[in-house]
Amino acid sequence: MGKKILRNYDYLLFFTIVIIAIFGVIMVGSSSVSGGATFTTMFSSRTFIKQLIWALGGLAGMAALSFIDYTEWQRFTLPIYLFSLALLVLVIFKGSSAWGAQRWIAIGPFFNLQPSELAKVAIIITFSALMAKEGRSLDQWTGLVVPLLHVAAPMLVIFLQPDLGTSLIFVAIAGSILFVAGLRWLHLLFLGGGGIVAAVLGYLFFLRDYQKARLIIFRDPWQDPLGLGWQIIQSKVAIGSGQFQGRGLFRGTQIQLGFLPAKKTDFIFSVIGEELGFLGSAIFLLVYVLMIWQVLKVALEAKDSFGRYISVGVAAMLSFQLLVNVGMTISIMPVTGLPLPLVSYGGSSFLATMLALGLVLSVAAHKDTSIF
Amino acid sequence: MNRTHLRINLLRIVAFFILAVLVYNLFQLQIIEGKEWVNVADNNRFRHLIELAPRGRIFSADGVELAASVPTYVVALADEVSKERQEKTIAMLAQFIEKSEEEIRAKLSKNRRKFEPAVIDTVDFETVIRLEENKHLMPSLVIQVVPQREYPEKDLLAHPLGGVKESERRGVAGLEKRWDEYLRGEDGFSVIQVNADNRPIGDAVNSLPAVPGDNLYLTIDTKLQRAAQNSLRRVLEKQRTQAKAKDAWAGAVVVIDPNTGRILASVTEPTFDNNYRNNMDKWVEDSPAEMPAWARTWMDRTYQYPATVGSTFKMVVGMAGLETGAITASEKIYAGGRARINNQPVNDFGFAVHGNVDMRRALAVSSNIYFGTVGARLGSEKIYEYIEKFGMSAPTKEQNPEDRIKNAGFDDISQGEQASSLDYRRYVKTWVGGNTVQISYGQLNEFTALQMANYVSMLANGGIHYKPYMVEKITDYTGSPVETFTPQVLDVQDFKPENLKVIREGMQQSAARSSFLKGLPFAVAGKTGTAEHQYSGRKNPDTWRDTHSWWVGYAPYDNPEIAIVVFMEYAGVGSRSIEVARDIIDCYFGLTEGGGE
Repeated sequence: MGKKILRNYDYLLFFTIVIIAIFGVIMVGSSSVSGGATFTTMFSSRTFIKQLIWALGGLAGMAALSFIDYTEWQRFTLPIYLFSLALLVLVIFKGSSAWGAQRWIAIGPFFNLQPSELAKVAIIITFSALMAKEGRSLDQWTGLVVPLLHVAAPMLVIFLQPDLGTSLIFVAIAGSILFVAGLRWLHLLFLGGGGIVAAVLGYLFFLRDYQKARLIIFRDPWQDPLGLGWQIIQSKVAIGSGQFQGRGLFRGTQIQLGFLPAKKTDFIFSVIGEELGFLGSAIFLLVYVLMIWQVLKVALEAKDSFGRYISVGVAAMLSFQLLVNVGMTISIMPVTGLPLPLVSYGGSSFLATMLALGLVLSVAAHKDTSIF
Repeated sequence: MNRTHLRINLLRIVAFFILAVLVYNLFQLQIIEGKEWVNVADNNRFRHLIELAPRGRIFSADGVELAASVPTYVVALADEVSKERQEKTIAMLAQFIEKSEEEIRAKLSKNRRKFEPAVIDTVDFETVIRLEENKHLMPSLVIQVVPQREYPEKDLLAHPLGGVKESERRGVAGLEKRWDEYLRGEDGFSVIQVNADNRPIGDAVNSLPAVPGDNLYLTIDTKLQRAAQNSLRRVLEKQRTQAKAKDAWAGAVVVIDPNTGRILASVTEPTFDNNYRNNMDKWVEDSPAEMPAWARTWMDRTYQYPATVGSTFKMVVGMAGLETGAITASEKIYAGGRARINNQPVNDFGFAVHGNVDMRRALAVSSNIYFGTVGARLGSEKIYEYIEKFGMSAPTKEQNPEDRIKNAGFDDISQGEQASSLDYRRYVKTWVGGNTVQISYGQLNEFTALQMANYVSMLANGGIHYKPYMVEKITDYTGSPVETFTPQVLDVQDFKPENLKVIREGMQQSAARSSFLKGLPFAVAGKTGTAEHQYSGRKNPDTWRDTHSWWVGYAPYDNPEIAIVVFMEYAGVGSRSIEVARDIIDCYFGLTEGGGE
C-alpha cells in the first residue's frame, strides 16, 4: 500500500507547490522590511518569520494530508459542512473587522482565523461528495436544486460579511464541478445568463454608491488618485516601472519607500512585478498555471468522481484567485481583497490552500492503477 | 467518461487563457509602457504634507482668552533616494539646529512612512528665516507649522481647564479632555509631487485645508475668578501667619448663579501656571518655599476633593425636620453647652450655653445640640433622603456608569475625573445611633464644594436643582454657533415656602452676626462650618491640623444673584472664610474700587 502511494505520488505537483511557497515567503520578506531589505535583515522581520512558520507548518500539513486516503473524508461531509457554516455565522457576531468587513476570529493571541478561507476547502469536499453520490443526474433541472442550495448557504453568509470576492470563489468552484459533472450546455447558458442578470440588478439596486465606486474605480483610477485610486495607481507604477528585468529583489523603490499599502497581503504581486520585472513575473505566472494544469491532470486520472471533483474544485479556486488578484494589481479587475494563494501574507489563506492541495496530492497518490 | 475528460481539458485551456490574459497585460504595462512608468516612479513621487489643525480656543464669559493656540515651527526632512545628497542635507541642517548629524539620521531612520517627511526638531521663528534663506541647498527640507496650546492667563482657572498632551494632540484632563472632540479640529493635508531631487513640481495635486477646532465660551467671569483667587490666597496666608493655623495652604471657592446653575468662579488653591502643567518642579519653584508638598495637587478642590463640611450641613437637617414634621419652627430645645444624644456626647462650640433655642436661633448660633436632637428624631434614613434631595448623594457602585452622575449633575468635566461625595454608611461596619447625631452637624460624611454650591442654590431659589455648568456656548472657528447651553432643571423639590423662609431667616441671622458682612447695602444669608476631620481630633502635635473652615451663603438675601461656597482646608473656625465671601460680594456687586466696575 505505502509503496503504491509513493509510486503514484505526484512529485511534479509537490515540487511546484514547494517552489511557489518558498518564493512567496521571500517576496513577503522583501515587502515587510522598510527601507531596503536584504536576506539577512529579512530574518529580523516578524512578518517574515511568521509567514515562514506558516509555510513550514502548511507544507507539513499538506504532506500529512496527502498520505490519508481522501475517500475517508466522504464519511464526514455533514459535520464538515455544518462546522464550517457555524464558523461563518460565528464570525459575523464574534469576529473582528478590518477594512469594514467582519472576517476574522481570534484564536489565541497570535492567530486570527479567517473562516471563509477554511470554508472554501470544506465546500470543495462537501460539494464534491454531494455531486459524486450515486444516482445524481444533471439531466433535469430538478437535479440542480440541491447542489445550488448547498453552495448558496455559505456563499450568502460570506456575502453578508461583506466579502463579495470570496463569495464569488464559490461560484467558480461550484460552476467548474457542475461543468465537469456533466451540466447540460443549455442549463449552463441559463445559469450563466441568470447570474449576469442578477449581478447587474444587484449592482444597480443593492450596492451603495461608495461600494459601486470601489468596484469600478479600476476602470479609471485617476478619478480619485489619492483615495480609492491611490493603491491601484501605486501598484501600476510599481509593476510598470519594473520593466523587463525588474529593479532587483529587495530593490523596488516604490515598495521600499512605502508608497504601496497592503503590499505584503493583497498586493504582493506588485512587489514581484517591480522587483523581478516582466521576466520574473511571467515565469512566476507560468509556474503557477503549471501547478493548476497539474492539479487538473490529477482530476483526469482520479479513480473516482469524488477525487475528480475535489481536484477540479481546487483548480477552479486557484485559477479564479490568480486571475482576480493579479488582475487587480494591473488594474484589469476590481479591487476585491482576495489574496494570492501560497504567496500573499496571511496564515488562514496559506493553511487553507495547503489543505486543499494536500487533498489533491492524496487523490493523485490513491489513484487506481491496478486496472491498467 | 470521454465527455468528462473533454470538459476537464477545456478547464485546462481556460487556465492557460488566464495566463495569456495576465501575461499580455503585463507585457503592455512593463514592456510597452515601462519607460513611462519608470518616469512616474522616479520623477513624480507624491509627498504628503499634513496641515495640523489649530486647537479651538477657550474664552471666559467676559471675553478673556483662557486657552490659545500659537504656531510653533517644526523642521522635517523628506526621504531622499540619493544617500549622498541626503548626507549633504543632514550636514548642512545640523549647522542650523540644535541636533547633531547622528540625531538627525536616527530620526530619519525611525520614520516608517517614507512618503511623509520625518520630524527632526522644533525651532524658533528666527531659525525658520535662516533656514528659508538656504532652503535651495536642502531640497528635502520641509518646515511645518505645528500649533501648540498656550494659556495666556497662566494660573487662572488652571485646574478646571485641564491640559493637552501635545504629542498626541488631545486633551487629557479637565475641560480640554471633556470637550476634546470639539476643540480638536480636523487636520488637513496637501499632496505635492516631487521629482527625484525631492523638489516640488507644480502646485499641490490635492489638498484639504485644516479646520481649526471649535471655540469654547465659559460661564466664568475672570474678574470674579481673579478676585476670589486673590482673596482666598490672602486670607489663607492670614490664617497661617496670624491665627496659628499653620497648615492653611489650600482651599476652594465656587460662585454660582442660583437661578441658572452658571458657575461664575471656580477656584482651587494653591494653583499653578498651566503652561507648565505636570511640571511639579516648576510649581515648587513658583510657590513659597515653606509650602508643604501635600498642598500642591493636580486635583481640583471644587469637584475632586470631598471633605467634611461641619455646620454648613445643618440646613439639610433643618429642612428635613420641618418638612417631615419632626420639629416645628417654634419648638425650642435646650442647648446647655453639653449634652448626650443617642449615647453620643455633643457640645456646642466653646461649650457656650445658648438656652432654649428654636430653629432660626439654632442656625444663628449654630447649635450642635439642637440639630443633633432633630437628627436623632429624624433618623439617618430621613437625613440621607434629604441629602439626596439636595443633590449631594454619592452614586453607588451598583449604578450604571452613565447614571453615576457626581457633583450635583455637573457634566462639563468628564464623570471619570470627578470625585463623588463620601457616604459614611459605606465605610462603617455597624452604624450606631451616635453616628446619626454626628452627621446632623456635618461630621463623618464628606461633600465637594461644588455640591455645597448646588445645595445652597436650592435653598436660595426655593428647591430648583439647576445643573451646574461651566460651558455656555461652542462656536466654530468662524464664530458660528455649534452648540448653546441654556440652564437645565435636573430636579424640582416641593419644599414648603414657609419652611424655606424659616431656614433662610436663620441663615440671614447667622450672616448678620459676622463683622465681615457689615456695611453692605443688602442683607446676606449664610452659614459657617467648622469641620472636624481625621487629623483635627487628636492633639498629637506631629499630625494635628486645624479644622476645615467653610462658609456657604447667597446674596442678596431678598433677591439672590450669587451663591458662594468658601472652603479653607485646615484653616480653623468657619467664620474666617466669611472674609473671602465678602471680597467676592464686593467684587460682584462692584462695591469697592478693587472690584468690578
